[in-house]
Amino acid sequence: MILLIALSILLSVLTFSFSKLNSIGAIRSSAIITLISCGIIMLLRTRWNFDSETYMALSFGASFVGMSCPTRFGVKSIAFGGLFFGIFFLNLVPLLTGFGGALGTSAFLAISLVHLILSGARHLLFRSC
Amino acid sequence: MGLRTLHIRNIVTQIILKKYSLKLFYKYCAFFLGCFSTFFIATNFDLSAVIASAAVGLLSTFIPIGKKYHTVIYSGSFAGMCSQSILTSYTQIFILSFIGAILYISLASHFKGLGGKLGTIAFLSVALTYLIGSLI
Repeated sequence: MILLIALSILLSVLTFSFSKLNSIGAIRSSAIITLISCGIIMLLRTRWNFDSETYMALSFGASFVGMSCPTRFGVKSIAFGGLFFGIFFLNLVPLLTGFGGALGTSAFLAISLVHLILSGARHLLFRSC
Repeated sequence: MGLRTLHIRNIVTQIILKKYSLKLFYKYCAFFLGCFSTFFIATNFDLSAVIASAAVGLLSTFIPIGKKYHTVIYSGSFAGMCSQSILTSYTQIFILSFIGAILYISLASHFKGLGGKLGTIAFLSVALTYLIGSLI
């Protein structure tokens, strides 16, 4: 469980940082990070026996979190988004197996939660000033 | 003055409708392309849906049709990740793409900058198609 969440945070931040590079963009970044991580997972599967489909789905979903706009979110926010996505992935995605877009919905919920916390914190800070 | 205003309003409505329907048609084509190609690759080549979707998304970025259509294709590819128990026929993909295109036009601008919005649009269109299918 901890490994899944750590991987989710790492891949979200990687996608986010990669998407900021010139001529890459969010879509290419998400697709490239997913394909590379899937390749690594498939290579590891030849040596060790584990549920590779879960890890592939997690890497794809985590990359969606990293597709967020760099002008709205920073690296720390994306890391928290990755953390929330990991939690949603473990609890929500098993309920929506077979439905396309379930990973994206979890990513959207995670990033919305971060956005909500950030705007709540900003609101509280400005009110106290 | 009243008649003239009505006439101008009619022309404006026609232009908007024409623009909207064209926009919808292009978005529909892009969504269908993403959805169909992912579903086809995942079901016929015995490949993981994740790899199929990512490959379709990556390849779509090399088609010179503009960034906003790349996002529609990527969103369609998420919808195409459905299992064969949910999407039972290719005709369902036509309905799914139509719903997806409408949802994309209506929702995409509201969720600007938030990661996962494409997946949410895909999920909503899949859920609505499934609901329509089970009701019929």
